[in-house]
Amino acid sequence: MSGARGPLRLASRRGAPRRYTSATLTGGVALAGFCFAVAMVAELLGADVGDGAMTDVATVVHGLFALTPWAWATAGAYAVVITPVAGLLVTAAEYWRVDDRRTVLLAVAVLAVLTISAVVAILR
Amino acid sequence: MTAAFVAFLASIGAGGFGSLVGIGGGLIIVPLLSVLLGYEVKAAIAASLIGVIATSLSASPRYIRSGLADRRLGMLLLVAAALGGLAGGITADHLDGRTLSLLFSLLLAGVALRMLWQIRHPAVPPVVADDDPSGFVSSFVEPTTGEEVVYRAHRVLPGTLVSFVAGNVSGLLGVGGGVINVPTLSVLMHVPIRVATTTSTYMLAATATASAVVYLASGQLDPMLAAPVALGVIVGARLGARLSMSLSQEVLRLAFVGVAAIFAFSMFMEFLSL
Repeated sequence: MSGARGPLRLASRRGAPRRYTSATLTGGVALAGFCFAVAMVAELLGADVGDGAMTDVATVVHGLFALTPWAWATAGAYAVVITPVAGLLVTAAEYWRVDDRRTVLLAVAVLAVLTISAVVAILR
Repeated sequence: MTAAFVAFLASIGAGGFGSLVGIGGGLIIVPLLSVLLGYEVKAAIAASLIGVIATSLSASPRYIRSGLADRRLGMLLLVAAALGGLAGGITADHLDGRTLSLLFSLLLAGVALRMLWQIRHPAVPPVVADDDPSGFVSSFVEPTTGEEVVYRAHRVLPGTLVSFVAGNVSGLLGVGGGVINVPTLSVLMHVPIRVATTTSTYMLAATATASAVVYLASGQLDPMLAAPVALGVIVGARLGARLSMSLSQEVLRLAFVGVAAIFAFSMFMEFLSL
């Protein structure tokens, strides 16, 4: 539909694919909410909070099994940060399936520019 | 734990209001954590960014499913704003922070007045033909009336340029995306306020993620502070998204006028203090 004109274009917007993007965002926020809730409950129950570098995946995974609130909260933060990226990838895939290449290009461009922005900011 | 509970409760309100008017909620969360609860400003900003993403993620599925958020338009403005952010410093080379604060406060005051005018003098929506030659024609079903509203985004190029400049100066001014996205979409591009607020909410996840990654990688994000904030906004944003469906576009517009007025006032105070 990339070359669609007029009525077809509006029709494509009305029937824009939504299901999987919506499900991805819902799943991601549910996972994040679960992780944060486990962290808060574990802290309320008096578990050792734990600590470490958020970029140290091994420590985070170990902490998840040990039920340390810090590790579960870190996992929640990761879920929050990864979900929008997953959402954009799924959006691109959804629009690819309906042959709307312009929207696919936009989704990929958003991902690319934001990735570059984050990398540049980290390196600064 | 008391501080976490206060943060959780306040974040419910921040998420609810943020998802309603498309600003995310950082306006409420950052001062709450830093001024009221005594956390370091950077830690408060980092936790707030997680909160803003969670607000967007929590409200957006409803907005996307109901066809209210215009993802294509949102993604176009996102690219422009992110490119503006990457080119950071261009505007700063020509204008100092004080002048920018003054200009921005005047601009937002103008936006607030313009939106108030639109409430009292609602424009008759132009008839948009299905064969409109622009690439940004879309439609949604107005939840309060059940009527299908077909609209066209006007001034796409100026809107994209504004997003570029906004992305360029937002770091300097310390303002989030929502307070710029909504007027750009609603006032400049003539997109219905409901689409403007929902599209802005959808956009916030992407912009805040790019910043949150930096805080996460540099170790400035305290996950134990982010947890109650995120849990609160997840609850609040779902309620806000549901409430949004029952509010008229005039009420949404009025709510955003309040936000714009607060930002205009705080920017003007910053101009005076610099």
